[in-house]
Amino acid sequence: MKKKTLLLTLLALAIVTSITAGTLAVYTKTVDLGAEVLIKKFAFAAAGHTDSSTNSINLAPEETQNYIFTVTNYEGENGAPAEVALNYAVHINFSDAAMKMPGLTAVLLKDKIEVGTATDGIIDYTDKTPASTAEKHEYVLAVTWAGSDNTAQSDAGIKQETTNGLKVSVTATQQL
Amino acid sequence: MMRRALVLTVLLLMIVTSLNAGTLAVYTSTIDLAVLPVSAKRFVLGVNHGSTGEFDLQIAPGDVVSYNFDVSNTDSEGRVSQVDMDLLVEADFSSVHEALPGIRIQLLQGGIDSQQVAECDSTGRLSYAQSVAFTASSAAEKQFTLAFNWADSQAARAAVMADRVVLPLSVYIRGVQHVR
Repeated sequence: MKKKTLLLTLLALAIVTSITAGTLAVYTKTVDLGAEVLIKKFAFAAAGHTDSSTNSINLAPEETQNYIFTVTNYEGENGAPAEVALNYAVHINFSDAAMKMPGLTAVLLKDKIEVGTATDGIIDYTDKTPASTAEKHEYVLAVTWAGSDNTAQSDAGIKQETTNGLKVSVTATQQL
Repeated sequence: MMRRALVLTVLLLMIVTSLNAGTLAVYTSTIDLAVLPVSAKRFVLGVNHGSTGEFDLQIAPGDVVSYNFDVSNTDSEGRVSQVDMDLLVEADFSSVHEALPGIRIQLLQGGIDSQQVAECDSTGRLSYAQSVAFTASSAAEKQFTLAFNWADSQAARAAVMADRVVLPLSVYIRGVQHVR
């Protein structure tokens, strides 16, 4: 009796499965789209030089020497511009020189307009570039040995003080 | 119930952290430009004035006594000043002028064919200035002579009849960066 019930149940299940499979048959079609995921280009460059033949700043009191540097949102001569807008920060540090050469100061000019003045040998400046449009920002850092402390300045000249120099770093970050 | 709340809190924290970490990822890059040396131009005034003893001049009426000194823009190691330099020589011979009547004190420049460039005035002061006496980065030396010419006269002889007189002399040599 028990065996008969089991056989009946199995049979019923086989029928139900067969019917169900039959009712699920529908039209179906798959289309593979050939899309791509592209990473937006990030490009950024900076370079600098002095306006003298020697790549150094060597000053006597009352003299000025320029350091020219550029910031671009592309690389190379005609590189493709960054596809994201950039914020960038310029950090200029000549604090050791300012300490050893009393009166040494500098102003930062962008397109001949003053955008920063050194305080204890440090200038910080921020700016931005747009997305997908090549831009070149030209800066002039005019370093002047001013001041009226003849004794301290003469002392620096007699010792011919050398310093840790002038450091310029530029950090660019994608605008959010 | 308590455990369920704890699990939910932890799950929530994980989701928030994940979202934040995702939104903070941005393009960023730093460029350090080459360090540029910054230095002071060398400033040197060298004066070779011999020993102190050479400046202890002994003079009598009718004598001509001279004191030589050299001024240069180089130091003892031959390093040259990197700036144009004006030169100033000043001296106060007022006590000599008062004590030795008729004495003439001249400043001469040059070697054998030296030329007078300054002379003491009636108060005993001597002053000589030369603009751009030295050119930047070009080593040079200038020879100077202080000539004391005490003409013989009654007044001069009368002066030496008194006790031995020791008179102070001081010469001030100054180099100043030439500013255009």
